[in-house]
Amino acid sequence: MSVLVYVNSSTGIHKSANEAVTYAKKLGGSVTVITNGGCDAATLASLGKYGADKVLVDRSVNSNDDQQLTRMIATAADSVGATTVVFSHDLTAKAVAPRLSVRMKAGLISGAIDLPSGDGTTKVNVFSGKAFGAVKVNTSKKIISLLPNSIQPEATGSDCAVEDFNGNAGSTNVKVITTKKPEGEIPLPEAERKNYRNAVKNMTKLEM
Amino acid sequence: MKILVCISKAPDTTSKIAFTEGNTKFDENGVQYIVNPYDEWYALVRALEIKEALGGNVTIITVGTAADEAVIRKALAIGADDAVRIDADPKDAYYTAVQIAEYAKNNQFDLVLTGKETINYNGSQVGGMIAEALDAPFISVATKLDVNGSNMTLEREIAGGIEVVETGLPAVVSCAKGMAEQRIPNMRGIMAARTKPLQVVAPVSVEDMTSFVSYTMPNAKSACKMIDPSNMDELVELLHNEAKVI
Repeated sequence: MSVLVYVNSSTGIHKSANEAVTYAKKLGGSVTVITNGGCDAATLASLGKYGADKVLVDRSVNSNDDQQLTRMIATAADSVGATTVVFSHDLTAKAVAPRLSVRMKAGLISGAIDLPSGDGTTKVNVFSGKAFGAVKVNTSKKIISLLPNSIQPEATGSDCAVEDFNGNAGSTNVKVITTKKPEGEIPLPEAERKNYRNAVKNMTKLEM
Repeated sequence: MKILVCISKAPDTTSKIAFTEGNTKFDENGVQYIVNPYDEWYALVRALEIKEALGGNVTIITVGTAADEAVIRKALAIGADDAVRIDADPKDAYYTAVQIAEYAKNNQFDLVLTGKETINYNGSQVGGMIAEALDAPFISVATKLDVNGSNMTLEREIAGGIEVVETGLPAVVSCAKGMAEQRIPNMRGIMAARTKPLQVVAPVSVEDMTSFVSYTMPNAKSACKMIDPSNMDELVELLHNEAKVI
C-alpha cells in the first residue's frame, strides 16, 4: 500500500502537517509527501521524522490555485501508485480534496477524527459536532482529510530524501492580487501548544 | 448573467439530533427543515445582489425529493427567479455534485454559488466537486465577490489571513460569512414564490463513492472541574489532553 500526503509548506511545516504524516504512517505502507513552492529542502526533510519515506516538491507551483494543486497531486498519486491520499483538513484541503476526489474517482472522507476502524469505516463529526458519523468509502482509492488536533504527531524516525518533482500542474486560472495578514497576531489554526499555554497564563493574570 | 445557486435542506439549528434504525439513519421525527444557512444567507443573497446590480437570472437547484419543496419555495420567496429539483434522495456529496454539474453543463451558467458547507454533514465537498466536473475555477470559502464584466474579484480565507484573487467566468464559488446579509422574505415574495417555475428533473445514473454506515452521540458532558488559579499547568494539560480543545 502506498499513501500520499499533501502538505502545504508555503509558510513552513506546521503541526497539522506532522499530524497528517503521522496519520499516513499509521495507515501502513510507504508514505510519500507531495508539496509545492519554495520551502527549503532541510525543512521538508524533517517530515521524515514523522513517517515520510520521501518528499516530492514541485517548485514551479507557487499559488493556492486549486486546479493546479489538483493536477499536481493527481500526477504524484499516479507516480507513486498511491491508493490513499491524506490531507490536513484546512482551507486548502477544502478546495482541493473534493476536486481530487472527482479526478481520481476516489471517495472523500472530510474531517476524519480517527484512524479507520476494523470495519473499514472512519469517524467524522456531523451535525456541527453534535454527533459522529462512521463513513465507508466504496471506491478502491480514497482520500482522507484529517481534522487538525485529532491525533498527536509522533516523531519516531529521521530526515528523509527530498526530490524535485514535475506535477504537470499547468497554468493558473486564479490571479492573486494581494494578501492581507493581521499583524502581531497568531493565526488560531497555526497556534501551537506553547502559544496557548502562554496565552492562557496571560489571560489568567489579567483576570486575577 | 445566469447564476445557479445550490441549496440544501438542513435541520433547524435548534433541532434535537437523534438517530433511528439502529443508529443508521437521522431521526426526522419532529425536525423542522430550513434552507442550509450558508446557502441561503450568503450564496443566494449575494446572487440576488449581483442580479439586482447587473441584471440576469437566479436559478436555485437542489437534489432532493418532493418533501424538499417547502425549502425550495422559501428560497424562491427570498427572490430567486426559478427553481430546479433533481428528483433523488442523495446520500453522498459526489452523487449530489454530479447531478448539479450535469444540469449546469447543459444550461450554460456564468456562475455557480454554494454555501461553504452544510450544517448537517459539514463536508465542504459539493462546490469543489462541481467545479472539477465542469473544469471551472473554484474559489472556496469566499467572503466577498464582485463581478466586473467577464471577471470576478473575490476575497477568500487562507491560513492566517485573506487573499484577494481574480478569476474569469464561468466559475464556482463557495460562500462564507461576510459575503452578504441575511434577507427575510416579505409577504409579496412569499405569495410570488407559489407561482414561480419549479422544474423537476430526473437524475443521471451515478454510484455513491461514500456512505454513512452509522452514527453515534458524544458522551454526556462530565461535571465541571475546578482548577486552582495558581495551577495553570494542570489547566493546560486538561484542556489539551482531556477536553482536546487546544
